[in-house]
Amino acid sequence: MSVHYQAVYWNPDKKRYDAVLAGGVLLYLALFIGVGATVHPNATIETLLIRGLGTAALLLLHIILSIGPLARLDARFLPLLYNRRHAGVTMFLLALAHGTFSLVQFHAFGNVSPLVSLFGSGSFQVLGFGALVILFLMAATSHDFWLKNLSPAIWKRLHMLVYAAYALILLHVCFGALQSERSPLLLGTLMLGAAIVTALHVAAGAKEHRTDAKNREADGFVDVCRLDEIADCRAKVVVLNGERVAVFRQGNTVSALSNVCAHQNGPLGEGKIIDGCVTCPWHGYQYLPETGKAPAPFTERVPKYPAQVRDGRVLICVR
Amino acid sequence: MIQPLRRVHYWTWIAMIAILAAAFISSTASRRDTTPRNAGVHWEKPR
Repeated sequence: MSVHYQAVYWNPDKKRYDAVLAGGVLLYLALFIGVGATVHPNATIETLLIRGLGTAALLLLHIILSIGPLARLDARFLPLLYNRRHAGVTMFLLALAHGTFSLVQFHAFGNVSPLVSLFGSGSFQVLGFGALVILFLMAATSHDFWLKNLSPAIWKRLHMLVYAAYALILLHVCFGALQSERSPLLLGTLMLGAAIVTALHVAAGAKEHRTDAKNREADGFVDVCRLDEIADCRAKVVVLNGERVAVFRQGNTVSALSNVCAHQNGPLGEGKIIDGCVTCPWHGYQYLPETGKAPAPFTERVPKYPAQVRDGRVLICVR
Repeated sequence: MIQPLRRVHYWTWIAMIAILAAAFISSTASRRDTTPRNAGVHWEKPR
């Protein structure tokens, strides 16, 4: 939604988000290495770094994977979604540092290439390497340039590979560190993290399935709801022919737009009308409710559906 | 587009329940010693 190219748009919110992110990572690493060196005085700094970086990446991945379903379950978590990409790239860098130190520590001092040694070992480290390749692809394409050039559909599918990376990483930990570290606390913590992430995703999916089933109607004019059921400058999301439509209200008029933002498939119906424009809750992209077009000079647009108010009821026409 | 995509998310996580459960069970069952049993030897810093 810009008329000139700028690699990254910085604003105070993004800077605050990144400061909290960087501070949290550094604090975690300092605590891990400090406590680790005290409890295990024989452990070398290389070992502490490898494990600290690995667990930091794993913890951050759990947080990243929880943000999406949390935002769908409760709109108060939406601000966390705003700059999630930076958290994803940070997680990749932590994983890369973990992988690099591990490669040097365990494979660099033999008489064959470290990568040949890694793959020749056939160990759990190959699983981690596979996850790192996926994370690299995602981090390298975490920019609107790639979103636009790959198309939102392909970009989203590429980034859904994070689930495969997550499974590989858990296998890497289960068949790696947890083979020798047999404390039930470690295994229990890992299982709890996986259970929380899985439960959040399943709960968010089930909530949306219930909403879709309730709103599904036959083709033609659909009676959506009473006008007063939609808060002013807000929307109600309904399903028409398998597509979600966001029905916005401004006073006594209504307008129906596709629920899918043209930028990154954000849920427009969870946004609100600001300065006369429907505003996406994810990244603030805006559209005129009358036409579905972004205000000039921007060129994005989303599909618009005929909508009207009759006898205090909101009706949407499906063609 | 987002509705089918979210449905894929949902079913992916249903499948993940089985995958992750299998990972935890099989890895726990196949645990093996990777460090020397000699308590006086620390593999990180052999003396």
